[in-house]
Amino acid sequence: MLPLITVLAISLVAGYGGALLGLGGGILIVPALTLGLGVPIRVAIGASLVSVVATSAGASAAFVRDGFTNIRVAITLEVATVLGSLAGSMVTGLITPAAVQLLFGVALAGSAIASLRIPHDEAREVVADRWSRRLRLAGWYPAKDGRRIEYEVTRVPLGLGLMFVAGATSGLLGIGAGALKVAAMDLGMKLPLKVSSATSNFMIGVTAAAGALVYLVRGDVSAMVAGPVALGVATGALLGGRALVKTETRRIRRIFVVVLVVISIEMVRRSIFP
Amino acid sequence: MSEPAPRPADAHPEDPTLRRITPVILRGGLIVAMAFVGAGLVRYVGRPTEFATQWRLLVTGARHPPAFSWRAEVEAALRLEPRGLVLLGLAVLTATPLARVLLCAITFARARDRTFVLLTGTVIVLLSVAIVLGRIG
Repeated sequence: MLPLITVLAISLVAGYGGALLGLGGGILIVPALTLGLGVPIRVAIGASLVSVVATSAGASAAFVRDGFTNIRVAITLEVATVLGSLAGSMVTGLITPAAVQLLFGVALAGSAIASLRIPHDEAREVVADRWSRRLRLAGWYPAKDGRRIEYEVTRVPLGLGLMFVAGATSGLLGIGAGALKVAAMDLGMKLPLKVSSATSNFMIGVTAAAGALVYLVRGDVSAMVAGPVALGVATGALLGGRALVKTETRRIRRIFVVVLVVISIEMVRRSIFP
Repeated sequence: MSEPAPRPADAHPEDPTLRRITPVILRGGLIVAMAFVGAGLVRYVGRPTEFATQWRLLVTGARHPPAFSWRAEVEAALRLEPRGLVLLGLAVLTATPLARVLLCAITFARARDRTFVLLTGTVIVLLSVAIVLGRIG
Protein backbone atom coordinates (compact mmCIF):
# COMPACT_ATOMS: atom_id res chain seq x y z
CA MET A 1 0.00 0.00 0.00
CA LEU A 2 3.05 2.26 0.29
CA PRO A 3 2.90 3.53 -3.33
CA LEU A 4 -0.79 4.44 -2.93
CA ILE A 5 -0.15 6.40 0.27
CA THR A 6 2.95 8.01 -1.27
CA VAL A 7 1.08 9.10 -4.43
CA LEU A 8 -1.76 10.50 -2.30
CA ALA A 9 0.68 12.42 -0.06
CA ILE A 10 2.70 13.77 -3.00
CA SER A 11 -0.51 14.86 -4.71
CA LEU A 12 -1.73 16.69 -1.62
CA VAL A 13 1.55 18.63 -1.42
CA ALA A 14 1.51 19.28 -5.20
CA GLY A 15 -2.07 20.58 -5.08
CA TYR A 16 -1.27 22.78 -2.08
CA GLY A 17 1.94 24.15 -3.57
CA GLY A 18 0.36 24.60 -6.99
CA ALA A 19 -2.46 26.68 -5.47
CA LEU A 20 0.04 28.88 -3.63
CA LEU A 21 2.04 29.46 -6.81
CA GLY A 22 -1.04 29.93 -8.96
CA LEU A 23 0.27 27.24 -11.31
CA GLY A 24 -2.04 24.32 -10.53
CA GLY A 25 -0.89 20.94 -9.30
CA GLY A 26 0.05 19.41 -12.65
CA ILE A 27 3.34 21.20 -12.96
CA LEU A 28 4.54 19.55 -9.72
CA ILE A 29 2.86 16.16 -9.99
CA VAL A 30 4.45 15.00 -13.27
CA PRO A 31 8.08 15.34 -12.06
CA ALA A 32 7.15 13.88 -8.67
CA LEU A 33 5.66 10.77 -10.27
CA THR A 34 8.34 10.28 -12.90
CA LEU A 35 11.49 11.24 -10.98
CA GLY A 36 10.29 10.11 -7.56
CA LEU A 37 8.29 6.95 -8.23
CA GLY A 38 9.39 5.81 -11.69
CA VAL A 39 5.93 6.14 -13.26
CA PRO A 40 6.10 6.24 -17.11
CA ILE A 41 5.79 9.86 -18.26
CA ARG A 42 2.68 9.32 -20.42
CA VAL A 43 0.88 7.73 -17.44
CA ALA A 44 2.04 10.62 -15.21
CA ILE A 45 0.75 13.18 -17.74
CA GLY A 46 -2.59 11.35 -18.01
CA ALA A 47 -2.97 11.45 -14.21
CA SER A 48 -1.96 15.09 -14.11
CA LEU A 49 -4.52 16.12 -16.77
CA VAL A 50 -7.31 14.42 -14.82
CA SER A 51 -6.22 16.24 -11.66
CA VAL A 52 -6.23 19.56 -13.56
CA VAL A 53 -9.88 18.94 -14.52
CA ALA A 54 -10.70 18.27 -10.84
CA THR A 55 -8.91 21.39 -9.61
CA SER A 56 -10.57 23.57 -12.24
CA ALA A 57 -14.07 22.24 -11.46
CA GLY A 58 -13.58 22.95 -7.76
CA ALA A 59 -12.00 26.37 -8.10
CA SER A 60 -13.96 27.87 -10.99
CA ALA A 61 -17.45 27.24 -9.57
CA ALA A 62 -17.16 30.11 -7.08
CA PHE A 63 -15.65 32.52 -9.65
CA VAL A 64 -18.53 31.85 -12.06
CA ARG A 65 -21.15 32.32 -9.35
CA ASP A 66 -19.57 35.59 -8.14
CA GLY A 67 -19.40 37.09 -11.64
CA PHE A 68 -15.62 37.24 -12.18
CA THR A 69 -15.60 34.76 -15.10
CA ASN A 70 -16.32 36.15 -18.56
CA ILE A 71 -18.15 33.17 -20.05
CA ARG A 72 -18.32 34.63 -23.58
CA VAL A 73 -14.55 35.20 -23.63
CA ALA A 74 -14.02 31.67 -22.28
CA ILE A 75 -16.20 30.02 -24.94
CA THR A 76 -14.52 32.03 -27.72
CA LEU A 77 -11.01 31.13 -26.60
CA GLU A 78 -11.87 27.50 -25.83
CA VAL A 79 -12.15 26.78 -29.54
CA ALA A 80 -8.42 27.56 -29.88
CA THR A 81 -7.31 26.07 -26.60
CA VAL A 82 -9.14 22.74 -27.12
CA LEU A 83 -7.77 22.52 -30.67
CA GLY A 84 -4.27 23.09 -29.24
CA SER A 85 -4.82 20.52 -26.52
CA LEU A 86 -5.79 17.85 -29.06
CA ALA A 87 -2.68 18.65 -31.12
CA GLY A 88 -0.44 18.50 -28.02
CA SER A 89 -1.96 15.21 -26.80
CA MET A 90 -1.35 13.58 -30.18
CA VAL A 91 2.26 14.82 -30.35
CA THR A 92 3.00 13.23 -26.94
CA GLY A 93 2.01 9.88 -28.40
CA LEU A 94 4.42 10.34 -31.29
CA ILE A 95 7.63 11.63 -29.69
CA THR A 96 9.97 9.80 -27.32
CA PRO A 97 9.45 9.94 -23.53
CA ALA A 98 12.89 11.59 -23.21
CA ALA A 99 11.79 14.42 -25.55
CA VAL A 100 8.60 14.92 -23.51
CA GLN A 101 10.70 15.04 -20.34
CA LEU A 102 13.06 17.61 -21.89
CA LEU A 103 10.15 19.84 -22.96
CA PHE A 104 8.58 19.50 -19.54
CA GLY A 105 11.80 20.54 -17.81
CA VAL A 106 12.07 23.68 -19.96
CA ALA A 107 8.37 24.57 -19.45
CA LEU A 108 8.71 23.98 -15.71
CA ALA A 109 11.62 26.41 -15.38
CA GLY A 110 9.77 29.03 -17.43
CA SER A 111 6.58 28.68 -15.36
CA ALA A 112 8.54 28.90 -12.10
CA ILE A 113 10.18 32.15 -13.13
CA ALA A 114 6.90 33.53 -14.55
CA SER A 115 5.14 32.85 -11.23
CA LEU A 116 7.40 35.48 -9.61
CA ARG A 117 5.88 38.16 -11.85
CA ILE A 118 4.30 40.85 -9.72
CA PRO A 119 0.60 41.05 -10.59
CA HIS A 120 -0.88 44.38 -11.58
CA ASP A 121 -4.50 45.37 -11.86
CA GLU A 122 -4.44 49.05 -12.62
CA ALA A 123 -7.28 50.59 -14.61
CA ARG A 124 -6.49 50.59 -18.34
CA GLU A 125 -8.00 52.44 -21.24
CA VAL A 126 -8.92 49.70 -23.70
CA VAL A 127 -10.57 50.16 -27.07
CA ALA A 128 -12.57 47.09 -28.14
CA ASP A 129 -11.56 45.59 -31.48
CA ARG A 130 -14.18 44.60 -34.07
CA TRP A 131 -14.13 40.91 -33.00
CA SER A 132 -14.84 41.93 -29.42
CA ARG A 133 -17.73 44.19 -30.49
CA ARG A 134 -19.17 41.52 -32.79
CA LEU A 135 -18.97 38.81 -30.12
CA ARG A 136 -20.06 41.20 -27.33
CA LEU A 137 -17.11 40.23 -25.14
CA ALA A 138 -17.04 43.33 -22.94
CA GLY A 139 -18.17 42.67 -19.38
CA TRP A 140 -18.08 43.71 -15.75
CA TYR A 141 -17.06 42.28 -12.42
CA PRO A 142 -18.07 43.16 -8.87
CA ALA A 143 -15.75 45.38 -6.81
CA LYS A 144 -15.34 44.83 -3.06
CA ASP A 145 -17.74 47.71 -2.35
CA GLY A 146 -20.39 46.18 -4.62
CA ARG A 147 -19.83 48.52 -7.61
CA ARG A 148 -19.76 47.09 -11.13
CA ILE A 149 -16.38 47.60 -12.77
CA GLU A 150 -16.89 47.56 -16.53
CA TYR A 151 -14.14 46.60 -18.97
CA GLU A 152 -13.54 46.18 -22.70
CA VAL A 153 -11.70 43.40 -24.53
CA THR A 154 -9.28 43.81 -27.44
CA ARG A 155 -6.86 41.90 -29.71
CA VAL A 156 -9.04 38.77 -29.90
CA PRO A 157 -7.05 37.16 -32.78
CA LEU A 158 -3.85 37.48 -30.70
CA GLY A 159 -5.68 35.87 -27.78
CA LEU A 160 -6.83 32.98 -29.98
CA GLY A 161 -3.26 32.37 -31.22
CA LEU A 162 -1.81 32.41 -27.71
CA MET A 163 -4.59 30.12 -26.48
CA PHE A 164 -3.72 27.56 -29.15
CA VAL A 165 -0.15 27.55 -27.79
CA ALA A 166 -1.44 27.26 -24.20
CA GLY A 167 -3.73 24.38 -25.18
CA ALA A 168 -0.91 22.57 -26.99
CA THR A 169 1.32 22.98 -23.92
CA SER A 170 -1.45 21.54 -21.73
CA GLY A 171 -2.07 18.50 -23.93
CA LEU A 172 1.64 17.88 -24.50
CA LEU A 173 2.83 18.18 -20.92
CA GLY A 174 -0.29 17.46 -18.83
CA ILE A 175 -0.45 20.85 -17.15
CA GLY A 176 -3.21 23.45 -17.00
CA ALA A 177 -0.97 26.12 -18.60
CA GLY A 178 -2.90 28.65 -16.50
CA ALA A 179 0.05 31.07 -16.30
CA LEU A 180 0.14 31.26 -20.10
CA LYS A 181 -3.63 31.71 -20.37
CA VAL A 182 -3.68 34.47 -17.76
CA ALA A 183 -0.79 36.26 -19.46
CA ALA A 184 -2.54 36.02 -22.84
CA MET A 185 -5.72 37.61 -21.48
CA ASP A 186 -4.12 40.07 -19.07
CA LEU A 187 -1.24 41.31 -21.24
CA GLY A 188 -2.55 40.38 -24.70
CA MET A 189 -6.30 41.07 -24.60
CA LYS A 190 -6.11 43.65 -21.78
CA LEU A 191 -8.68 42.00 -19.54
CA PRO A 192 -8.48 42.87 -15.82
CA LEU A 193 -6.26 40.43 -13.91
CA LYS A 194 -9.09 39.15 -11.70
CA VAL A 195 -11.23 38.39 -14.75
CA SER A 196 -8.23 36.82 -16.55
CA SER A 197 -7.51 34.50 -13.60
CA ALA A 198 -11.16 33.47 -13.16
CA THR A 199 -11.73 32.96 -16.90
CA SER A 200 -8.46 31.00 -17.22
CA ASN A 201 -9.53 28.74 -14.35
CA PHE A 202 -12.85 28.12 -16.08
CA MET A 203 -11.22 27.30 -19.43
CA ILE A 204 -8.53 25.06 -17.95
CA GLY A 205 -11.14 22.39 -17.17
CA VAL A 206 -12.27 22.05 -20.79
CA THR A 207 -8.71 22.27 -22.15
CA ALA A 208 -7.47 19.57 -19.79
CA ALA A 209 -10.59 17.45 -20.39
CA ALA A 210 -9.83 17.40 -24.14
CA GLY A 211 -6.33 16.10 -23.44
CA ALA A 212 -7.52 13.78 -20.65
CA LEU A 213 -10.05 12.17 -23.01
CA VAL A 214 -7.28 11.32 -25.49
CA TYR A 215 -5.12 9.84 -22.69
CA LEU A 216 -8.05 7.98 -21.10
CA VAL A 217 -9.26 6.36 -24.31
CA ARG A 218 -5.66 5.60 -25.38
CA GLY A 219 -5.04 3.71 -22.10
CA ASP A 220 -2.58 6.20 -20.61
CA VAL A 221 -4.70 6.77 -17.49
CA SER A 222 -3.90 4.26 -14.75
CA ALA A 223 -6.51 3.93 -11.98
CA MET A 224 -3.72 3.23 -9.46
CA VAL A 225 -1.98 6.53 -10.29
CA ALA A 226 -4.71 8.89 -11.53
CA GLY A 227 -7.19 8.01 -8.75
CA PRO A 228 -5.05 9.12 -5.80
CA VAL A 229 -3.58 11.99 -7.86
CA ALA A 230 -7.02 13.45 -8.66
CA LEU A 231 -8.22 13.11 -5.08
CA GLY A 232 -4.97 14.39 -3.53
CA VAL A 233 -4.40 17.34 -5.89
CA ALA A 234 -8.04 18.52 -5.66
CA THR A 235 -7.93 18.37 -1.84
CA GLY A 236 -4.49 20.02 -1.69
CA ALA A 237 -5.60 22.79 -4.05
CA LEU A 238 -8.65 23.46 -1.86
CA LEU A 239 -6.44 23.78 1.24
CA GLY A 240 -3.83 25.83 -0.65
CA GLY A 241 -6.48 28.21 -1.94
CA ARG A 242 -7.64 28.87 1.62
CA ALA A 243 -4.06 29.38 2.85
CA LEU A 244 -3.50 31.84 0.01
CA VAL A 245 -6.30 34.07 1.31
CA LYS A 246 -5.32 33.89 4.98
CA THR A 247 -1.51 33.92 5.10
CA GLU A 248 1.53 35.80 3.83
CA THR A 249 2.79 33.43 1.17
CA ARG A 250 5.68 35.29 -0.48
CA ARG A 251 8.36 33.26 1.34
CA ILE A 252 6.63 29.92 0.67
CA ARG A 253 6.27 30.87 -3.00
CA ARG A 254 10.01 31.58 -3.25
CA ILE A 255 10.85 28.21 -1.68
CA PHE A 256 8.53 26.44 -4.13
CA VAL A 257 10.08 28.34 -7.07
CA VAL A 258 13.58 27.18 -6.04
CA VAL A 259 12.26 23.60 -5.77
CA LEU A 260 10.68 23.89 -9.24
CA VAL A 261 13.90 25.15 -10.82
CA VAL A 262 15.90 22.30 -9.23
CA ILE A 263 13.34 19.76 -10.48
CA SER A 264 13.39 21.24 -13.98
CA ILE A 265 17.20 20.97 -14.13
CA GLU A 266 16.95 17.33 -13.01
CA MET A 267 14.30 16.57 -15.65
CA VAL A 268 16.41 18.11 -18.42
CA ARG A 269 19.51 16.26 -17.18
CA ARG A 270 17.71 12.89 -17.10
CA SER A 271 16.25 13.43 -20.55
CA ILE A 272 19.72 14.01 -22.01
CA PHE A 273 21.64 11.50 -19.83
CA PRO A 274 19.04 8.82 -18.94
CA MET B 1 -19.14 44.42 -37.89
CA SER B 2 -19.93 48.10 -37.48
CA GLU B 3 -22.81 47.99 -34.98
CA PRO B 4 -22.28 49.98 -31.78
CA ALA B 5 -21.05 47.99 -28.82
CA PRO B 6 -23.73 47.39 -26.18
CA ARG B 7 -23.00 48.56 -22.65
CA PRO B 8 -20.93 45.83 -20.95
CA ALA B 9 -23.45 45.41 -18.14
CA ASP B 10 -26.24 44.65 -20.63
CA ALA B 11 -24.24 42.60 -23.12
CA HIS B 12 -24.65 39.11 -21.63
CA PRO B 13 -28.37 38.29 -21.20
CA GLU B 14 -27.51 34.60 -20.77
CA ASP B 15 -25.31 35.30 -17.72
CA PRO B 16 -27.85 34.82 -14.88
CA THR B 17 -28.79 31.31 -16.05
CA LEU B 18 -25.19 30.23 -16.64
CA ARG B 19 -23.97 31.73 -13.37
CA ARG B 20 -26.70 29.87 -11.46
CA ILE B 21 -26.47 26.42 -13.06
CA THR B 22 -22.78 26.10 -14.06
CA PRO B 23 -21.44 25.95 -10.45
CA VAL B 24 -24.02 23.22 -9.67
CA ILE B 25 -22.81 21.13 -12.64
CA LEU B 26 -19.12 21.64 -11.80
CA ARG B 27 -19.44 20.90 -8.07
CA GLY B 28 -21.95 18.08 -8.63
CA GLY B 29 -19.71 16.38 -11.20
CA LEU B 30 -16.68 16.74 -8.93
CA ILE B 31 -18.48 15.29 -5.90
CA VAL B 32 -19.90 12.29 -7.82
CA ALA B 33 -16.50 11.64 -9.46
CA MET B 34 -14.59 11.85 -6.18
CA ALA B 35 -17.12 9.53 -4.50
CA PHE B 36 -16.40 6.85 -7.14
CA VAL B 37 -12.63 7.46 -6.95
CA GLY B 38 -12.69 7.36 -3.13
CA ALA B 39 -14.69 4.11 -3.14
CA GLY B 40 -12.22 2.58 -5.61
CA LEU B 41 -9.22 3.59 -3.51
CA VAL B 42 -10.84 2.08 -0.39
CA ARG B 43 -11.29 -1.17 -2.36
CA TYR B 44 -7.59 -1.03 -3.38
CA VAL B 45 -6.64 -0.74 0.31
CA GLY B 46 -8.48 -4.01 0.89
CA ARG B 47 -6.37 -5.74 -1.81
CA PRO B 48 -2.75 -4.81 -0.96
CA THR B 49 -1.10 -7.76 -2.72
CA GLU B 50 -2.97 -7.16 -5.98
CA PHE B 51 -2.12 -3.44 -5.84
CA ALA B 52 1.57 -4.13 -5.19
CA THR B 53 1.78 -6.59 -8.10
CA GLN B 54 0.04 -4.26 -10.56
CA TRP B 55 2.12 -1.29 -9.41
CA ARG B 56 5.34 -3.25 -10.03
CA LEU B 57 4.16 -4.16 -13.52
CA LEU B 58 3.34 -0.50 -14.24
CA VAL B 59 6.61 1.10 -13.06
CA THR B 60 8.78 -1.56 -14.65
CA GLY B 61 6.99 -1.03 -17.95
CA ALA B 62 5.96 -4.69 -18.06
CA ARG B 63 2.28 -3.83 -18.44
CA HIS B 64 0.67 -0.64 -19.75
CA PRO B 65 -2.84 0.26 -18.50
CA PRO B 66 -5.51 -1.17 -20.85
CA ALA B 67 -7.54 1.22 -23.02
CA PHE B 68 -10.72 2.64 -21.45
CA SER B 69 -14.03 1.04 -22.36
CA TRP B 70 -17.29 2.41 -20.91
CA ARG B 71 -18.93 -1.02 -20.93
CA ALA B 72 -16.00 -2.82 -19.29
CA GLU B 73 -15.52 -0.14 -16.61
CA VAL B 74 -19.24 0.05 -15.73
CA GLU B 75 -19.37 -3.75 -15.43
CA ALA B 76 -16.21 -3.72 -13.29
CA ALA B 77 -17.64 -0.93 -11.11
CA LEU B 78 -20.86 -2.93 -10.60
CA ARG B 79 -18.67 -5.81 -9.37
CA LEU B 80 -17.07 -3.20 -7.02
CA GLU B 81 -13.66 -3.76 -8.59
CA PRO B 82 -11.28 -0.92 -7.62
CA ARG B 83 -10.05 -0.19 -11.16
CA GLY B 84 -13.60 0.03 -12.51
CA LEU B 85 -14.77 2.34 -9.70
CA VAL B 86 -11.79 4.69 -10.05
CA LEU B 87 -11.92 4.88 -13.87
CA LEU B 88 -15.68 5.42 -13.85
CA GLY B 89 -15.13 8.31 -11.42
CA LEU B 90 -12.40 9.76 -13.65
CA ALA B 91 -14.65 9.41 -16.70
CA VAL B 92 -17.43 11.33 -14.88
CA LEU B 93 -14.84 13.96 -13.92
CA THR B 94 -13.61 14.31 -17.51
CA ALA B 95 -17.20 14.57 -18.77
CA THR B 96 -18.05 17.36 -16.30
CA PRO B 97 -16.56 20.23 -18.38
CA LEU B 98 -18.32 18.78 -21.43
CA ALA B 99 -21.63 18.98 -19.51
CA ARG B 100 -21.10 22.65 -18.75
CA VAL B 101 -20.28 23.34 -22.44
CA LEU B 102 -23.56 21.59 -23.33
CA LEU B 103 -25.36 23.84 -20.83
CA CYS B 104 -23.79 26.88 -22.54
CA ALA B 105 -24.92 25.59 -25.95
CA ILE B 106 -28.52 25.13 -24.76
CA THR B 107 -28.57 28.53 -23.03
CA PHE B 108 -27.20 30.34 -26.09
CA ALA B 109 -29.70 28.48 -28.31
CA ARG B 110 -32.58 29.65 -26.09
CA ALA B 111 -31.19 33.20 -26.31
CA ARG B 112 -31.08 32.79 -30.14
CA ASP B 113 -27.38 33.71 -30.15
CA ARG B 114 -26.35 31.82 -33.29
CA THR B 115 -22.68 32.85 -33.12
CA PHE B 116 -22.23 31.36 -29.67
CA VAL B 117 -24.26 28.26 -30.51
CA LEU B 118 -21.74 27.73 -33.32
CA LEU B 119 -18.76 28.34 -31.01
CA THR B 120 -20.02 26.01 -28.25
CA GLY B 121 -20.97 23.44 -30.91
CA THR B 122 -17.41 23.59 -32.25
CA VAL B 123 -16.00 22.93 -28.76
CA ILE B 124 -18.34 19.94 -28.34
CA VAL B 125 -17.28 18.53 -31.72
CA LEU B 126 -13.60 18.99 -30.83
CA LEU B 127 -14.12 17.17 -27.50
CA SER B 128 -15.77 14.33 -29.41
CA VAL B 129 -12.79 14.26 -31.77
CA ALA B 130 -10.61 13.69 -28.67
CA ILE B 131 -12.28 10.31 -28.17
CA VAL B 132 -11.60 9.33 -31.79
CA LEU B 133 -7.97 10.50 -31.55
CA GLY B 134 -7.51 8.48 -28.35
CA ARG B 135 -8.70 5.34 -30.14
CA ILE B 136 -6.29 5.99 -33.03
CA GLY B 137 -3.49 6.39 -30.46
